[in-house]
Amino acid sequence: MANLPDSMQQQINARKEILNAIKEELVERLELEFEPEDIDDDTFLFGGGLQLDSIDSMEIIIGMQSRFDVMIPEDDVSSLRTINTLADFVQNEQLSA
Amino acid sequence: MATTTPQTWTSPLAHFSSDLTTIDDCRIANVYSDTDAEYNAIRESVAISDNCHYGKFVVRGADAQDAVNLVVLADVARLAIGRATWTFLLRSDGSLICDAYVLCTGDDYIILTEGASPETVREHLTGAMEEHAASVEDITTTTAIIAIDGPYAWELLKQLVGVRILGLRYLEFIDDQKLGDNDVRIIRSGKTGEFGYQLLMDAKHVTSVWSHLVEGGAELDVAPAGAEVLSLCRMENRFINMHREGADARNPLEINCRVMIDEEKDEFIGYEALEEATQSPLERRVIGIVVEGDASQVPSLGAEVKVEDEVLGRVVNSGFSRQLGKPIALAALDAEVAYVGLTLAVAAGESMLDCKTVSAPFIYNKSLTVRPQEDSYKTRKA
Repeated sequence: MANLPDSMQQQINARKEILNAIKEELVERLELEFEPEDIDDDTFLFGGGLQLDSIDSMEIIIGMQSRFDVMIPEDDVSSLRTINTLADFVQNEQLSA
Repeated sequence: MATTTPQTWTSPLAHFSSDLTTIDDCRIANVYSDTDAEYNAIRESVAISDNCHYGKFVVRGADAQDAVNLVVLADVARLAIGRATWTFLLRSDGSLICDAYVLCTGDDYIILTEGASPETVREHLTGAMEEHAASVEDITTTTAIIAIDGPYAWELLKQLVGVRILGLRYLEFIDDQKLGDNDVRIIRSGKTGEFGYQLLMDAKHVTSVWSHLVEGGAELDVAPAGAEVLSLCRMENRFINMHREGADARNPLEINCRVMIDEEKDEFIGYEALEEATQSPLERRVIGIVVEGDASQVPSLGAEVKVEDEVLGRVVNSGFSRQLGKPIALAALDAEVAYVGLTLAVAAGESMLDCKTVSAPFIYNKSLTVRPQEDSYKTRKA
């Protein structure tokens, strides 16, 4: 276990919390055949990875709004790429709120 | 087995370049003329590439499905005819031999591999056939592959083989398409993050098909792209490079490929090691880093990544992102710290440079905003 500065450990803990909530939301809402812990943070949502399709993207947007009270614009394709890009969007919105 | 691939061989397309490199025992183009032009073709228009270095195998016989399932991570029993999957071949210790596309034709399975010599893959496949009514044929040198990548890759194929290409979904393939007088099998796949297709054909016809693509794509500014630029594009989009992070990983979990494991499949080479790994805390994980400050310093493979004096891991792949204008790298870090948003330090030459952990992929792809039913290269926006 790495010996990290406290501020960095807090940063990691905050990120983990968001990532876990995103994974839980996607698994429940999209009825994925994975457990949240089976999904890596850099897993792609479409194409390979979770193999979601364009219909699922609307469900993801609704899910993020429901879970975090943030609204991903429909044309913001760069946020809808991986679990981590979703987390980037959520964190940025929370910081600017 | 009808044929075997010689230990080192030369792609039938190699004569188009004077700068060759050897990948998986095959000499192919590293650079054609100008890496800027090659990169721009992939990211802005259409690039064609020589993928003849892939290992290529046909597995056939009554037990072909079971035999293939024994050697790949994915469950090919789930594959419909006309569909492909992207997966790994593992060693018994769970480490990765190579990645592979597996195509289900209905009559047999075609396996296209990258990351190991055809001889290594053939021996691995042949060993798995021993207890099955199945045989493996090495078609590496008799079958050629040309890749087409770019935001307008679909437009080139639409012009040459027809509108049907627009209906081809990711990892689907269609047979008996004509390019000139030549039959090709077209797979929707790629490792650049842009629209991508791979064309399989008899190696005797590959030069003719290549010329056909160059001539047919003149108005789309088609350009050939070599291995150097393709490797960068692969990293920018976080496709696994089996010669870098894939070779370094002890199992697929370390390279963020946990969802590729089929929970219901329990008989394949590497299963026991992978089962043990999935039930233990992950020790390290690969994450992207962007180097801040000095744009000329690309971290070397093996360079330490630190916070204060604590070594957190090492660089397993690196390059200079042309789109970001910054050095990028993949680092295998202690899994407890492999999270996005951290400011760390990476060794580059004699100095330690600030770097930031970032989400996959590194870049934005133009293909995300191109709509094949409506758009065209000619009328594209800047």
